Amino acid sequence: MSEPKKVGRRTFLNYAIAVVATGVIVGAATYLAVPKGEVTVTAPGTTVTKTVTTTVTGTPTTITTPSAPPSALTVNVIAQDTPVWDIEEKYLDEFYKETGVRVKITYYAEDDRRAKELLDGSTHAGAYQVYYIDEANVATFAANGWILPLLDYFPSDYDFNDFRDGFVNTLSYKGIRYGAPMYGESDMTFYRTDLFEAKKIALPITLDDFLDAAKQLANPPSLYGCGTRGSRGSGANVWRWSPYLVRFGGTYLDSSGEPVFNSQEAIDATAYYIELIKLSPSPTMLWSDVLNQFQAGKEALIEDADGFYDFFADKSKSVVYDKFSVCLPCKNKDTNINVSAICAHGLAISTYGCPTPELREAAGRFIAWFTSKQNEIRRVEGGYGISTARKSTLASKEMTGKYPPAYVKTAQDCIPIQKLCIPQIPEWPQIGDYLGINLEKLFTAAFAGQKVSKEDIKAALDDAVAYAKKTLAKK
Amino acid sequence: MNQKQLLYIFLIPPFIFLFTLGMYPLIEAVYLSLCDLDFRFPGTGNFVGLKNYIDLFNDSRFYNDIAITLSWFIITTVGSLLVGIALASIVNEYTSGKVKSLCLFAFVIPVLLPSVAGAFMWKLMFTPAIGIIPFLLSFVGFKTPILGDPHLALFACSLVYIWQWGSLIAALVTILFESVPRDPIEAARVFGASGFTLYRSILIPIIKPGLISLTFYIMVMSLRSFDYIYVMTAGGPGISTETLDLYAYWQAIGAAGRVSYASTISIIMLLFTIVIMSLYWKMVWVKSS
Repeated sequence: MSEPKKVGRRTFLNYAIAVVATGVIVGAATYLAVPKGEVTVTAPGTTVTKTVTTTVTGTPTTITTPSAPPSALTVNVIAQDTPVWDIEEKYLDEFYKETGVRVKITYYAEDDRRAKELLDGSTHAGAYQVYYIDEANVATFAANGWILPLLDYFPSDYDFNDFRDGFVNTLSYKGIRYGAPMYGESDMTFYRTDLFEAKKIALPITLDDFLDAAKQLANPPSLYGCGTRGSRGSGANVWRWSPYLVRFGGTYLDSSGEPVFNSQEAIDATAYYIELIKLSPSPTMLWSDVLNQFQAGKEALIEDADGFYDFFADKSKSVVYDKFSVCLPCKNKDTNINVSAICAHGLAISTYGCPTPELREAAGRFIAWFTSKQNEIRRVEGGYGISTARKSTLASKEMTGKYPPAYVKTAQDCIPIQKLCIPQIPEWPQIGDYLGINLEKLFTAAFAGQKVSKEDIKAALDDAVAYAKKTLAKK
Repeated sequence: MNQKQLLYIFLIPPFIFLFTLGMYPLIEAVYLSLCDLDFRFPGTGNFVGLKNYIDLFNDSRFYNDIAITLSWFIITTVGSLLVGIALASIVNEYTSGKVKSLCLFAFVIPVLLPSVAGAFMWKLMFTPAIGIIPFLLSFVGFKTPILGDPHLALFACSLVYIWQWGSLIAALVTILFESVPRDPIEAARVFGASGFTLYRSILIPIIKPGLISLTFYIMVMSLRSFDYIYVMTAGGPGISTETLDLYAYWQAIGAAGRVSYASTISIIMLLFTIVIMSLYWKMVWVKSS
């Protein structure tokens, strides 16, 4: 066996230099290969910089206002990229000039945004001063004290009372306002004007009218009577089923907080919903499927979020852009209850992200500025007027100039019947997910032609209620 | 300093780095599975011993998901191998030159597509009323929405996996067939062997070592295919396509913040994978060696 060869100092140095040089080259190449986004000059002497970084779960985009003096405050905002932000981020330098507060916005897709916020709140990391909250997580954040009561820091000159009440209530917990709404959706009935005229069918007012019209118009596979969400999930089939539960007189929790969504009213609501599922193209549709099918002219009648309106009216993507209109959701004639289910997204102040009064005030001022009347009008002018959150925007000349009277009137008529139909408890996503699974089983069985009796429905709801009780008891 | 010492100097730091990187998440997951951490509630994260494991073994959804995971594993692994070998045999038998190259190129294309994109594309193709598959099936009177049927949905998801990975196997097996010496094939043909017999008795036994490695690879990939099911059915209808990893996702991120419970599911899934892979290793690899 030969003696191992000796390595001289020079050879060792050569190896080391080679390793370091390789590291530098690889590092430089990686740095150059990663896209840096674009730099846009928005006003003399100021820039909005888009920096793209990569994470395991998504590609967040960070928007930063111009370099501020070292003493200036920075407000970090976690957000979900929507056209609202695309429009308003153009005016960030205006806020900087007004307040001297630097704003850094990091965008994520919805699920990633929720996961990051949950992690930030639960670990008290405080990486963000402003959270993007929604109807699904406001209860968790408020109950745990991860967000602060907003009105303590919301400047009075921004008119908080102008927000639509339903949206404000949705972003509240136990009566305390935590979020300023910047985006909200409200249910409406979308119908095909050409088909209703051809068959001389009157606009549906009651749930029975809705079902009758859908049955009359159904001619599958070229045209389905209606379309509704059947896919499992607290934000999917359960979200759509909930307003029916309310209209049939049911509720998720009784006054003592006990789950009661296996009541006779809930059974009747489910039986009605199954009839809608049978008239739909598939029993497992998501909101995007419902939207796509209506755009493709395959559904005659749907009840869903008003946010769909812009998609249906888009000439380049919709074959029904000139053949549809909207009216109020249908009421239950037996209970005389009507509801327009709403969701709301908004901004809230992070407790741990804002340890000082100055930061809280800066975060509150940013939220007020972002959700201001002026910025909402900018959104309408920018082509994104649906889902604005202020009453004054809905009544503005910009809104009436941009959208047809039928839409504006229906949107205004919906306000008194707007309601969040899901319970605001931290356990809701888990309970809703379980209920969604049981509902989907019923829907797929009924769609496949199997007989789904009221006893079957009761058994499925009883099981979901038992799970809900167990989940709530663990608290 | 000699070359051996130099080798250690350069290898030990990356080894420590990689070992830490690999082991830390595993140790953390084991620890979390013994706690009660739930992101939604403050004051959680306390040590609770085996409580999560006991809860999991009393959870009927867990047993359903094990059955689905096993079904998915078997359907996708066996399906990909059968489709891959069958396609490779056809191409090897009936094509040559540029046509063969073209076929190889066509086989590689599906796997170049990110699995999420592939799953979205197939989901659209399966969509009732606007998808091509329901349209074609309607000619034979088949009107069931496939992804909405608890009995068919898992097969539909598997089809997408087999389309991607079966094609890759077809390309690789075609290349393996190319590497087989011509003499035994010619000799077999002289003795009258052709078609199925030739492949079963001569070609496939010759490429067996390569096939075993491919099978191992496809098995690992099958257990890492969360994205196909998540995109196409999200586990539905009901829980008819819900695999263990999907259940862990719903518990930790999708529907709740039950991190410890999800970690418990992950640990069980890890053990499940180790058992399957060890069995395969023992049954096939060691035996054939």
